[in-house]
Amino acid sequence: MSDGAPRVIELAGLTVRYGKNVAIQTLDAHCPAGAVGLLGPNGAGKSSLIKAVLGLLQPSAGSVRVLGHEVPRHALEVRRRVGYMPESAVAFPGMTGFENVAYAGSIAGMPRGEARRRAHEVLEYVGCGEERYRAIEEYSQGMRQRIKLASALVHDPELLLLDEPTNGLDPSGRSEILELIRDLGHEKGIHVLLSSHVLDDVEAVCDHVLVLARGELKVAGSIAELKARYAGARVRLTIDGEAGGAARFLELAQTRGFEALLPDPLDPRECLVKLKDGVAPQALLRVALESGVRVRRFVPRGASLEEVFLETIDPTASAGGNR
Amino acid sequence: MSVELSRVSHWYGPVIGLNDVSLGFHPGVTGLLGPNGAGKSTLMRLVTGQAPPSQGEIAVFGERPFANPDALMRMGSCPEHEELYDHLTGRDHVFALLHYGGFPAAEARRLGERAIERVGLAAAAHRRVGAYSKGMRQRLRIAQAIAHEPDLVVLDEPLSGLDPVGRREMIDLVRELGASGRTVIVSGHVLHEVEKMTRRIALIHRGRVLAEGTLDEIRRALDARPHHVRVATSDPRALARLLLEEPGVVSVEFAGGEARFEVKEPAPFFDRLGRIAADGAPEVTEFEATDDNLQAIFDYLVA
Amino acid sequence: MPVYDRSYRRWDGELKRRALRFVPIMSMGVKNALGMKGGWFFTLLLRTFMVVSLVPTLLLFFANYALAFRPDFLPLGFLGFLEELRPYRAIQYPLLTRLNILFLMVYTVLFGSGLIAKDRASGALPLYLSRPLTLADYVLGKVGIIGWFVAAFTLVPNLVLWLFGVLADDRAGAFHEALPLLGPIVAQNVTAIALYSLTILAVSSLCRRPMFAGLIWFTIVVFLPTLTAGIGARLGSHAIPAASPNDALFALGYDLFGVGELYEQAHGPARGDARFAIEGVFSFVNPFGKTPPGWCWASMAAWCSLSLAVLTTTLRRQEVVGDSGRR
Repeated sequence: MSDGAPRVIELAGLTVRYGKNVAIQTLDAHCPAGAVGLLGPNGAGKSSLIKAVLGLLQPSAGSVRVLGHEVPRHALEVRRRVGYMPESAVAFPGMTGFENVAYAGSIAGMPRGEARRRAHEVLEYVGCGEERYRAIEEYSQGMRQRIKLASALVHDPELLLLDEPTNGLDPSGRSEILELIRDLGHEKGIHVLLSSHVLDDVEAVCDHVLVLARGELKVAGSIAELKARYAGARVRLTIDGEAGGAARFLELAQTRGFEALLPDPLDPRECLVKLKDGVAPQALLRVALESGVRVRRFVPRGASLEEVFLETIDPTASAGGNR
Repeated sequence: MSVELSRVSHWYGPVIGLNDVSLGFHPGVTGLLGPNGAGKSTLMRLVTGQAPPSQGEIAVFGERPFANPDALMRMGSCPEHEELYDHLTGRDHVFALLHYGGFPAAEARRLGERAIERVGLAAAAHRRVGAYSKGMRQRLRIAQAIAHEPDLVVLDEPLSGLDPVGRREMIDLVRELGASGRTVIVSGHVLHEVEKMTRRIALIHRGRVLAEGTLDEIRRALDARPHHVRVATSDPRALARLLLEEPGVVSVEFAGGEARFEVKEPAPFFDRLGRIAADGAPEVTEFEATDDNLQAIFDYLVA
Repeated sequence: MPVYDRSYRRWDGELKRRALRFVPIMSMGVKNALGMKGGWFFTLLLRTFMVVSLVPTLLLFFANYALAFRPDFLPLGFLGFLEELRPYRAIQYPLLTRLNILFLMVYTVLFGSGLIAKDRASGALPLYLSRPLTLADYVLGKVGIIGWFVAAFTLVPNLVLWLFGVLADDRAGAFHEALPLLGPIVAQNVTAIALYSLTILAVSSLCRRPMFAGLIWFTIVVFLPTLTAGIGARLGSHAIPAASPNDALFALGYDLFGVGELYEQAHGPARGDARFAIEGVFSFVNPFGKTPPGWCWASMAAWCSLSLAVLTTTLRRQEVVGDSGRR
């Protein structure tokens, strides 16, 4: 992570304990500006981290600074500038979607008229049409997620904390929410901290990641950098036609000294080949031509985020992966 | 065919869940996809015998599943929202449901242990379910579904609540189940993950079947629609000039360091592209068809 | 600019500072409570109840009005007795509170039992807690909601009755006579508001279902007097009934308004029907005279502190642990 860039969240020696249970252990980390993904297995300390950032708990040791303010001492200041979209099904009871968002604005301190006006504006942005006037108890999951996002945005925060924002959404809902978050993070200049188990989401939206496990920081860095670091050069190829062609290609590639990683058992035409040092990826295309197969996909890349994740959490359990 | 639906319709009052659906499931893994409210849960409920279809016939291993204990013994299901008994330990939970299902105690214990191992709950099986995290509860639900070694396994969003490690493990488990000859019906919304479990899908939208078969078959059936190919190159325009000579190319777009082609005849196009890239003039760094993945097919069919 | 940008816009307004943060919580809560729906039968029942609950207040108003302006409205015998009662009119304040208590309890359960329970059930607490609010603001807002309704049956009718009494009495020095009553009125009724609001909120914070919370609170408040009276009689102690919130409240009223002396003064010279009538009126408040006021104040303090303690603990726990993690 580049130093000198403004730090949105700074954790120094943070320790969080619940009784005897240590949730976070002397954590030193920081979130740079932009969209950051927060990853980690269950029990890694992600929710404790989010609570610490919101100033909802007193750390047993260490300090947390968010947007320049110390937390939990200046928790109220921080919460004025932070929007939180929780994972669970939350809503203010007995109100319509619109009232929920307007109420969220007014208890954040917005004057009543402004809260209502802004609620409409934000609901428009997240794609909530006439449904906003229905009772929130009747909402589908997609609508609920939008209302949660709108409530987090209504007071125009500088930092958005999102916890599993695509939870329960169907594929169209997922792409829409991710598009909104990408827009907010990249175009509208709002810092985003996205905590999710769905690595595809994080890859789609974030530029940096923080990986936690058992209360410690395992890895932090920009996604591009991490992928390059963890897997080195490999090329993904998809062979057109029947499976026999792919087998021929791989055989030939191996005799030329390339290492073929585990093929995808579901579709043997999907090949993953490790590059030799100093050899251009296009050499593989020549091999393909020689073996008389047609290539539909040729994508040199580093690892997938999933591979980076699995590698950092448990380096002993790394397989070749198949994507 | 393990599961066969013939002209099945099902409604709830005026709302229709499934509309004249004819579908078959074979041994192996089939992904059941569709927007929310499309009828996936209805289909799963009917297949697992929780209700008889309003119209049409369902046969699971040749028999009607509704109120049919024999058929029910051969299937296991993991619905999306299922309550668990918080006061039992994980081990007791699996054991209890097996035992009530008719297995003698010793057998139930053995099967239960095996299922718990398989889903990775062995370390936590002695703790109360009430203390479980979301991911652990999910693993327990799946253990329940597979403990009695059913021939048909119906899983609704099996990856929900699991962390990336758990997701990988579950994907592998589903593949294993399919490979062992069981019929597995899986529904999921993260299409990238469904793709890792199977290439065979059934897509439902508004109560009707939009597509059925392997990704390849479906893509070929959509061949009337031009393929989109994205090529990253040092000189997009020079590349475009070369490739536009191919008669199958319908259009080209330039964006960033890429040229995006719309192609009606992919085979000669890729041949030519492969040769150009291998020669390196102009330099081609990557290329791929952007719409032969599940997400693209889904978007096209559902939009 | 000619083309409207439908995308996200920043907001450059100012967020309000500390002072009145609890007000939106209060106003939204009252609005929600008043808009409570439950089917036609429930609404019918509620409306009837609301009408009936106004009866004691209206009766007293009518009596005052009649005495002051239209004596001919009252039947002769009745009039005589009320005239007797006029110098001791302070009695009507603790009497009104005593008469309203049943309605008060029902309203508290109706509007108060869901105040925090529903927030817990629908998961609204994380939403509140992630806002620039303190727990104190949240509790203050909720107290404000139920406080409104309790005040409407305790402080407000008493104050209006007092005002009416002052305005209707055209004797010289009537104001100075009535002024000392203001203290006891405010004392007894504000205590009632604090007691009822804090206790129902505490119970509501412990449950996820409003009905459950309501039942628990109602049982405590309704059955405790029987229990304490029984135990008190057994042990021959007059202090024990102070443990019951309602009894302590009435006993406080007895003491604050000097009901004992009023009774002596009224009962002494009364003859015949008037005597029975006076006994009848005072019978509502007299029985609570035996409980020493010191114990009552202690009991009130204890109930309020206990409720505050429960509230703070439960809410703090929600802050850190939360109800989420299920589903």
